[in-house]
Amino acid sequence: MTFCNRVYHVGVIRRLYINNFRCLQNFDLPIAGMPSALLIGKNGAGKSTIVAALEVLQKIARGTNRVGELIKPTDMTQGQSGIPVRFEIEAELKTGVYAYSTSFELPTGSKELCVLDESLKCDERFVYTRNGAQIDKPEFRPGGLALESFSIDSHLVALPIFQFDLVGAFANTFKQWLAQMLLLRPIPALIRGDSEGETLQPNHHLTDLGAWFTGLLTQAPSAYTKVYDYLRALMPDLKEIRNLPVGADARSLVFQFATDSGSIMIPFDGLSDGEKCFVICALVLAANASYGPLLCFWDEPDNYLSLDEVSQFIMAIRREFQQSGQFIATSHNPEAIRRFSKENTIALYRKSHLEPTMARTLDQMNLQGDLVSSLITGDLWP
Amino acid sequence: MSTSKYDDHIHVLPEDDAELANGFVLDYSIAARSIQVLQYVGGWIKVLDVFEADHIVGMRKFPKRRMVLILDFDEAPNRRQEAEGRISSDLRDRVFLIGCWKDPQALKRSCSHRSFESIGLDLAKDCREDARTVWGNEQLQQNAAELKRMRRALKPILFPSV
Repeated sequence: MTFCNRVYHVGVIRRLYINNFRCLQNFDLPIAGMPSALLIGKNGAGKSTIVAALEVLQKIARGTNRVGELIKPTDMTQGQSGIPVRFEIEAELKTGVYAYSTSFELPTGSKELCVLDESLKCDERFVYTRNGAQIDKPEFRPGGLALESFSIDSHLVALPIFQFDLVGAFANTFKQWLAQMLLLRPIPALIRGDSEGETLQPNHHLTDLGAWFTGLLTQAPSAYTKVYDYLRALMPDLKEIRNLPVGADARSLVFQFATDSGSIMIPFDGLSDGEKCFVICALVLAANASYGPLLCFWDEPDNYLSLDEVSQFIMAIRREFQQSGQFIATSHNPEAIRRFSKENTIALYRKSHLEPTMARTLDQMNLQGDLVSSLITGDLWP
Repeated sequence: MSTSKYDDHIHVLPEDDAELANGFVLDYSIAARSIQVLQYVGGWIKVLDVFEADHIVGMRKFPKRRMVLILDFDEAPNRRQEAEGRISSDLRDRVFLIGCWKDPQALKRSCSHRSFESIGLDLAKDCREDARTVWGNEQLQQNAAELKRMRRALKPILFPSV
């Protein structure tokens, strides 16, 4: 394994390319090497579609291999069934630079897409390549490097079912990184503190936050200190966080607050929406420090926060990911927008629902004057 | 709660985009909740106008508040004197004036066009380590005396663990 290609800190995307997926045509997201980045754009500009594309890749890494469960013909841009849908992602991880690519086509007369090609590279060396149903995989043998070939159903993606040997041993790191991406669109009112089991792969609305908390502390008990310290700075009367057993395999998150006049136990459900977001933030920080580097894509993290908290909240996450991992946020909040800079703020726009999404960093645009004002007036957009 | 009004804390009022200040606050060892970067105001006179109009009352009400005013000196030799003249003597110990000799773009050019955030990060590292790697830049040298005052008064607030 070589490390000569190392350019950025670990856990960042070097390249994310998507083609013919909803409003993303020949689309490159310019986030290479950025520890944190902000996506801004009008409603409908394509921010959520970028998350949807990452969700496809994450589902693959989490084990969904049936193409029909990943992508539908209606996901093809304006029904362009003659053009393959393509996803390419390149990431810099501890064990090397990984590049995964897959494309899907809709055979004539079929209602289900199938895999056109697929490949995984680590430090420029192929772990496997695939063309249609045929997979080629280099293998170390006593006489040297040999090529092993076999077939797979073209309606199945290979990555989830691949058994990596010595050649691809490090590729599991990539699969795990992809599977553990935090793609967050939390709805605090739907989040409960009760859990059964544990996970390091929470769902996008974080309705399994309790299981994530349990999984995090099982993986790294020291994460409790990070979670507690962050929350204590925000809520000085916080005394303790308990994840109490409430059944054979069930637990329930409870927060104890105390002042000189007494103490009170409040279940997670009893916290305000903003306070629930503080807990989510604490878990994100602790997760990246404990089992990262992670990619965290948080859709509008400033929702539910009071104005005096937005800046501290955003900067806390940015500071954590400055060391390793990558934080991508979307926002319409002026205070959140001001916490990013021209080189890590990416403007997404499209002229109409018939046009593809375009992306540029602000320093590539000729922005005159105040960004927030130009967003309010709409003058930022061509 | 953002910064606590009753504990030592710092408000930063920048003339230009807060990118340098954002970079500074990204430093991993900073006491994050002790510093709040406010909305930039655009123009050095406006920094002083906004300070007088919006912040003097708060500073008198909360004695643990410090303010750092970031303004461009536009190569004007008397700029610091003029600005200092607009700060009441009872607040002088808690208000700090820093900025680029010309403007942030000139600083960026003389730092090989690195991003403002990475320059801000290096400025914080200098403060942490009592170094002058970036603070010694030609665009920032005129802050030397103020920097000495800031190290004494603000470093314990910003970097209590150092």
